[in-house]
Amino acid sequence: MEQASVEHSHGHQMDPYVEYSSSKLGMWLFLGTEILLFGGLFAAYAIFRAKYPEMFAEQHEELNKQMGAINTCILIFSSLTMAMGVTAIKRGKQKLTAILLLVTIICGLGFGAVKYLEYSAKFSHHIYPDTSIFFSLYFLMTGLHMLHVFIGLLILATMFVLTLKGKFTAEYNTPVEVGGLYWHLVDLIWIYLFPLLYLIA
Amino acid sequence: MILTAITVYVSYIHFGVFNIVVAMGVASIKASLVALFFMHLKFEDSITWVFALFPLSLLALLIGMTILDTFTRVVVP
Repeated sequence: MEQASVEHSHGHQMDPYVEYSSSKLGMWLFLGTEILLFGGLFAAYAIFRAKYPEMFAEQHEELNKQMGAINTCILIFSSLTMAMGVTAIKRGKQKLTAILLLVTIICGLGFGAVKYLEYSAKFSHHIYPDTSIFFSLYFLMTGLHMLHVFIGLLILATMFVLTLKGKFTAEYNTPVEVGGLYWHLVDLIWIYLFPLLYLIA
Repeated sequence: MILTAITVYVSYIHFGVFNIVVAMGVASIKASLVALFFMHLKFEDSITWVFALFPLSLLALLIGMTILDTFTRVVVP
């Protein structure tokens, strides 16, 4: 134990547990900033919705609720497999973790595919971001979210490759856990995006 | 799994005339479950909780104050 601490000195944290907790804390801090990023858009949504309720109610009918609901289920399921993946690597089960990460990635790709179908359907009906305030908000919010999904997929893919190479063990799995937190955030944002955009009464 | 069932159920409520409050309420329950269990928040120490809850209070300020501002503006004729 003391040997390991000496090797890790040169101004770095000496205790691996401290490194681990600070990594998680750092990710939570970042997640906070992401929440506030989307929060600005949610604030815009709230104001424009209150000012133009009829336009919102009328135009949101154009959105396909079934596709939205399917996407919600896909993301929540992928969060589940992600959480299972983190538990698996904490128990040292590398192969299971790799499989679960792969399932999560496939779900993320599925989400992207459904979104692609939705967007292309909108464009073929000549509905674009500049069609109205509602659709500006819709395309911007879901587009920004889709960008985060894509970034999350890159992170997950990196984790997947590293897991296959055996870089993670029951003792060292911080990147998997922290990457998982990011993926859960992507899911959280969608959980709020879905009812606001698709399910207005 | 329960979350997925709740999601599907809620998505059918839109055929009725339901309030945004209910939809937001269900979304918040789902979000809390994801945060507590999938993100392991329930088992984290209190400093992590502060890091997780502080942005939410900032978010409430952001949205709340913006709404208060825009809707109490007096339009000068």
